[in-house]
Amino acid sequence: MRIERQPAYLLHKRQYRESSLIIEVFTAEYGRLSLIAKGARRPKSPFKAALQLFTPMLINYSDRNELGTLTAAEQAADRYPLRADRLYCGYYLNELLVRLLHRHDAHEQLFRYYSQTLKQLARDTRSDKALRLFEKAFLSETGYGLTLHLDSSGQPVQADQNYLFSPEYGAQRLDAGHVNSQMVYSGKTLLALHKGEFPDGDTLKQSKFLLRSVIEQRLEHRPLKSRELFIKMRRTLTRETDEHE
Amino acid sequence: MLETIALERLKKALCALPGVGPKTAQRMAFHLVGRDRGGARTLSEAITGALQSIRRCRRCNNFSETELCPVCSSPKRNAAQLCVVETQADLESIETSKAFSGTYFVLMGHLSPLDGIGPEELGLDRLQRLLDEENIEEVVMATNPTVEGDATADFIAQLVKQRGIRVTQLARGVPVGGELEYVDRNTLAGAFQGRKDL
Ligand SMILES: [Zn+2]
Repeated sequence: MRIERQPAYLLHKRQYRESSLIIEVFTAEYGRLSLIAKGARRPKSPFKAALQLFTPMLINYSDRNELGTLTAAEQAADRYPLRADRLYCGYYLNELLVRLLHRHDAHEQLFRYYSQTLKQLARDTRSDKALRLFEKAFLSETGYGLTLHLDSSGQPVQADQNYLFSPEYGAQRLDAGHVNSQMVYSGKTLLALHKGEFPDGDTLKQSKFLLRSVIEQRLEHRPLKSRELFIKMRRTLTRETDEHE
Repeated sequence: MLETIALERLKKALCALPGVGPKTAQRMAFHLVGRDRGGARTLSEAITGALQSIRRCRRCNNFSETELCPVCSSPKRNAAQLCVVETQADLESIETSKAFSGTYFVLMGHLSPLDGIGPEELGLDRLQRLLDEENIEEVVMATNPTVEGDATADFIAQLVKQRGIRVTQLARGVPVGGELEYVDRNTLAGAFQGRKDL
């Protein structure tokens, strides 16, 4: 199958043989793919300028089983200029997609979310909000949507109550005075995340923990390298150990 | 058929060379053992000798036969200027250009979060020590103009600035002899940002 002018993003590249690359791309219509970019590391390769992270591309490729072949790549718009912390958010998105999307599963809606999230990360808006919305969309687009407005017995979640949350059982209301070692979420947080609006820092922070715990489960508790590295880099800069997380 | 085994071994070994596949390896092997045995001996001795004597410079990671490489130990080089490059090949290119008279630090790669290549893997603790122990006045970031190269440059720039040392980055522009029409958009954008008064 030959595909032409397919919108795509590069997620990861690794060296293959002397002068080629194996690239992971996220395409608008065909989901995540692995392609071989022959000669992409030669000095005059036509792929070189276009094959950059966080850059909208149009690609041509021929698809064969596991590994297709890239035949053309051009840059379709400016690279999203992610700097500092935002850049590592971008790497985090890429690692989620590489780790959790099956090859050849189409995710057109998720592709649009990915694009939007990069745009927001590149702008000077709050990155944590954009990330939470991406994580939520990512889970629902990959078949792990969260029920946040109803508790495990089917009752509407109350803003002034406290809940436990797990992907299997959903929100479980806690009786007053209940002591539990697990993370407790306010009904307000669950409803805020349900709507995708975060009225204050607390709901945003709790949403981060909730989404992280669900994603960690999906990753089978094998940690994300981009996150580990980000923490390590922060430590290098602050010269402190365990300053946070 | 002992010689066949030896020949196979040689062919396999030659495949370790960049750009050499089984066919080329066979041609090389036949040439070395058949037509040019003297040359083969010289080559074999040169490889053994190089492996024994060449190591990495203690200060900058450059290839060296001594603890400090010729660049680091030369009194003609300005040790207050430190140029950070990704690879040995980048260092060689800059040396060929004779555009820089300071010293280097070779990272041997760039930050690559999805591959787990971070500050430790790039030997940044050594770079930090170098910044702390020597009188460096300027660090020139000469990493590649890619997302990964820029990420590496940004991170190192923070480490350098923390110490109150000046950081610069190579300008990005249109290649000499190149035609604007064929220059990619990022290069052009960079060239515009870095324009100079005439
Ligand atoms: Zn040296």
